[in-house]
Amino acid sequence: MVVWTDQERAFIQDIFSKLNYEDAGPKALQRVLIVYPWTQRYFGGFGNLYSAEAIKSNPMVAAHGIVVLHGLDKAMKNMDDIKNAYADLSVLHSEKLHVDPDNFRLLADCLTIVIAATMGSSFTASVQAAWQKFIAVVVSALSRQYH
Amino acid sequence: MVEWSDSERKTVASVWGKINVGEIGPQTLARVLIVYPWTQRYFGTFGDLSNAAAIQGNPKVSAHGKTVLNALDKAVKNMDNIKATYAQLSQLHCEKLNVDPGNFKLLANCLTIIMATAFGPAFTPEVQATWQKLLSVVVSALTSQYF
Repeated sequence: MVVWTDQERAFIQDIFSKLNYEDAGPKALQRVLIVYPWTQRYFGGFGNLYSAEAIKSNPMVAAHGIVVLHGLDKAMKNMDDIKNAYADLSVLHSEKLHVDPDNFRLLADCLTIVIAATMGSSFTASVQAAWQKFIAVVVSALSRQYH
Repeated sequence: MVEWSDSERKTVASVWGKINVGEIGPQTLARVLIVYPWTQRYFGTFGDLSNAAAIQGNPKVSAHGKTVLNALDKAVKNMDNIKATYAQLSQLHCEKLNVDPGNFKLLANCLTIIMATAFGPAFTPEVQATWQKLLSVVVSALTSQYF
């Protein structure tokens, strides 16, 4: 089981309390599609993804970004059992959506950058360490049902 | 050879022009040592690395952070020949310093996050994409003499 210090828990809760899902969710998913363009293959039904501008104004991308970001709520509310909290979502991504688990890491990286850009200097090294630990545990839990 | 568009070249020059190596270098190395604590194994002679505050106040960490970030200047000034530019540094890291090349990516990640906190919304997805491209070419060049 992952061990969290009180300080790490406080940092994570603080980040979520300041998180604007309607802003960060779309931005994170847009970045994944722009910075790692091969990920667009998963979104064939989303319409125009032909340029960074198109991606940034695409309403389906924005809506889906919010859905994905809310998926992190499970982890924030169940920090002591993230593995089990994500068992169903992991099965879904593996067996129904056929998402290569490496993409979880790409989304995690882009979300970290969006949060860093929003929080500026308050995204200190210690906050970053706690956040990256949290997101690594989520990525690991999402990848777990693949084998 | 890596292809760079005019817009990517401009972005790299403009971003690099705004980076204060004296400030960003120390912060980058400090973050690597804090967020990925196993990397401290390479710095046994640096003195007190026992917690985040110690690391961030450690003068050897600062000095070395500047050295490392200054070396990125080589890439910015030789974008069309990054591989050859880093050949000697690659050999040094492999044969003399015995640094696991996985660590180059960790440093690149921390640098990217610091840039996001410093630039805020100006670190757009397009800027991120260009910057990550530059860093992955540098990481690849630094790894090129390992095999």
